[in-house]
Amino acid sequence: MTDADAIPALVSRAAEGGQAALQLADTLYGELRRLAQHRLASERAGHTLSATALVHEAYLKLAGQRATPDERAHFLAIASMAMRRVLVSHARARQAAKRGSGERPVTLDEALVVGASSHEELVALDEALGRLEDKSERQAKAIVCKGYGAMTDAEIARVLGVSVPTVRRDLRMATAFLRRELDG
Amino acid sequence: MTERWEEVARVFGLAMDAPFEARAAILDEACGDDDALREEVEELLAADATGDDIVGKLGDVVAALAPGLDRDDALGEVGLASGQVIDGRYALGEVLGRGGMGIVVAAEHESLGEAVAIKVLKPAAMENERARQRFLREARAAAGIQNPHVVKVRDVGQLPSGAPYLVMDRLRGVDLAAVIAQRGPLPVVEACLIALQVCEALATAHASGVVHRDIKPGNIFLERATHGDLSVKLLDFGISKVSPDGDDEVLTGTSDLVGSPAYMSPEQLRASRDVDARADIWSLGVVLYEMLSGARPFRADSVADVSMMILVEPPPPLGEGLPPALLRIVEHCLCKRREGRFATVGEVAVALAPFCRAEGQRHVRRIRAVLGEGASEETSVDLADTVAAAPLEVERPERRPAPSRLPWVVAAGAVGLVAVLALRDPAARTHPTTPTSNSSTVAPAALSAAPSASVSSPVSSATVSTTKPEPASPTLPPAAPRIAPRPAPTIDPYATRP
Repeated sequence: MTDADAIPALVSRAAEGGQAALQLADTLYGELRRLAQHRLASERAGHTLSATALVHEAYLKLAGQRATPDERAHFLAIASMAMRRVLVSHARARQAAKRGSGERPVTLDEALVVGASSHEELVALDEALGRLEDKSERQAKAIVCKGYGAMTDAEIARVLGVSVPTVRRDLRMATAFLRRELDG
Repeated sequence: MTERWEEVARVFGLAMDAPFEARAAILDEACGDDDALREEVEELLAADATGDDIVGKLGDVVAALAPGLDRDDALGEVGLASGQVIDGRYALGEVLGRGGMGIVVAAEHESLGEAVAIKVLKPAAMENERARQRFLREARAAAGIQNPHVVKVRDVGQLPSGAPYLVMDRLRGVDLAAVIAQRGPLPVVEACLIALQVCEALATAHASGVVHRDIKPGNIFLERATHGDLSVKLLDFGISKVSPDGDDEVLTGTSDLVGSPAYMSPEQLRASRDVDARADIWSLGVVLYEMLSGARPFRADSVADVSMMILVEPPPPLGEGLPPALLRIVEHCLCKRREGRFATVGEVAVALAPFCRAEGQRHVRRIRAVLGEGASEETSVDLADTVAAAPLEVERPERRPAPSRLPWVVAAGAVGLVAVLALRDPAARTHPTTPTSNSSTVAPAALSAAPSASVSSPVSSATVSTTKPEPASPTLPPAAPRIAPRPAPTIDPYATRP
C-alpha cells in the first residue's frame, strides 16, 4: 500500500490536528515532490510549473471529491505547508551548491524562467516568515496558505478558526511585516 | 500570537482602513502613551502603503522554483555526488540539466578554476553500446567544429564506473525552448539574429561534413555575452552524422528514429541515414517558424500523427503581420522535397540578413568565409520586400492558398519589385526582375537568383523606390499570390534614395 492510499482517511482526521495532520503533511511532502517530477518529465523544457497548481492538483488527486469543505480547506493548508518545505529545502540546497562551487551558475532553463535571484529571494522570504512565526504563528500560516496554496480568505478562515475579516487583517499585517523585514 | 503582537495587530486593524488623516487620532486613542506600540504600528502601516505585493511575489517565486525540483536527485542516478572530484581535476557542482541520454553537471576545473559543464552518460544508456558510441561521437564531432556558436568540447574522459563523460564550456543563459515557452513569439529581428547564428554554427559543421540532425530549440542555447548581447551556442551533436558513409550506418540504422520528431525533415523520417545539410535547413525552418509564432508548425498527440503532418501537410499559415519575405524564407526551408529548399545555410543567411541590419551582414560574411565565397552568392528568396518590410508591423500579406510546388514566383508588393524565387525551375529564371514604369526601382541582380550573378552584396545594391508599388507583373503565373499594394514604408535604412 502506498502512502497515497491512506490519504483520504488522513484528510478526514487531519482537520482535528495532531498526529493525523503531521502524518498527512509528511505524505504530502513526498507526493508533491513526485507530482512535480512526474509533471516535469512530461512537460517541455522551460515549462513553468505553478506550485499552487500542484497543491490543487494534489488535492484533486488525493482527496478526491468526497471531501467536505472543512476537509478541503485543511488539506490545502497542509499541502501548502508541505509545498513550502519542498521548495525552501530545494532553494537552500541550490544555494549551498552555489556556495560550494564559488559562483552562481545559470542553468539551462533557469535564467529567464526563474529570475536570477529566485532562490535567494525565497530563502530570504522564508527567513522573514520564520521571524513572523515567532510573533504570530497564525499570521505566518495565513501567508503560507495564500502564497503557496492560493487559498481563499474563507478557506483560510476555516482552517485558522477565525473570521474572514481577521484573516484579511492578518494577511495585510503579515505582508506589511514581511516587506519591512525584507527591505531592512 | 504573542501578547504584544496581539496588541499591535489590534491597533493595526483599527487603523488600516481608516483614511490617512484620521489615523493619528485613532493611534492616539489606541496607543495612549505607549510610544513603542505606536511606532511599531506606524512602521507597519507605512509598509502596508507600499505597493509591493509580497504574497503575489511569493506565488511568482514559488512558481518559478518548482521546475528545478527534479534536478536534486539526478546526480545520484549516475552514481556521483555534489562536491566529488573526478579524474583529479573536475569538482562537481549541481546538476544543470538532464536529457534522455545523460545529465549535465556544473563543475570546476580545480587547478585552472574554470567553470565547465560535464555531460555524463546515464547508466541505462551505457548498457547500450550504440548510445555509448553516439555519445563519444558527439565529442568527436563537436570537438572538430571550431566556431564561436558551437559549444566548445574541451575534454573527454571516463568515470570509474566506465561511463564516458565530456567536458564542455559552461554556458550562462537559457535555451531557446525556455525562451519561447516564457515569452511566446519573438520579435522578428531577434528571431532572425538567432537563426543567423545557428546558420553560422551549421556552416562550420556542414563545411566539415557534419550534419547536426537534431536542430531544435532545446539545443539552441542563448548565452548572455558580457556586453549584454545574446550569443547563440549550438549544443548536442549527439546524433550528428559525421560523414556521408563510414560507420554511421551502424549507429543509425533505419529502425532507429534519431532526433526530435517535431523538428525532423521528411527525408529524415523516411530514412535517417539519408540526410544531408538540407535536413538541418528544414529543422532550422521549423525553429524559425516556432520563434515567429510561438508554436511549432507540426503538432499532434502522437509521433505517428506528427510524422504524417511533416510528410504531407503544409504548415499552418504563420501569424499575420510578418514580413512576406520572411514567410517565404520559412516556407522555403520547409519545402517537403529537399531539392526545393535552400541548398546551403549560406543561402538562408543571405535571405535572413536584411532583417538584422548590419549585424546580419557580419554573419553572412563569416558564413561566406566558411562555406567559400560562391556558396552564398545565390539566394533563392528575393530580398526586395524583405528590405522594404524592415519596419516590421507594416504589412499584412495575403496568404498563399497552398504551397505551390513549382515556380516560387511572387509579386513583391512593397516596393514594386517583381522577384523570382524558384531556382530549380528554369522557366522561372527567364523572367527577369523588371523595374516598373512609375518606379525607379532597380532589382538587385543577385536577387533574381541567377547562379552567375556577380553582385556580391544584394542588399547594398538594392535601390528602393518610395513610390506606390505596382501590382504583380503580367508574366506571373496565375498561382502567384498577389500582395495588396500599400504605401511604401517611410523608413528604410537599406534604401539608397534616388
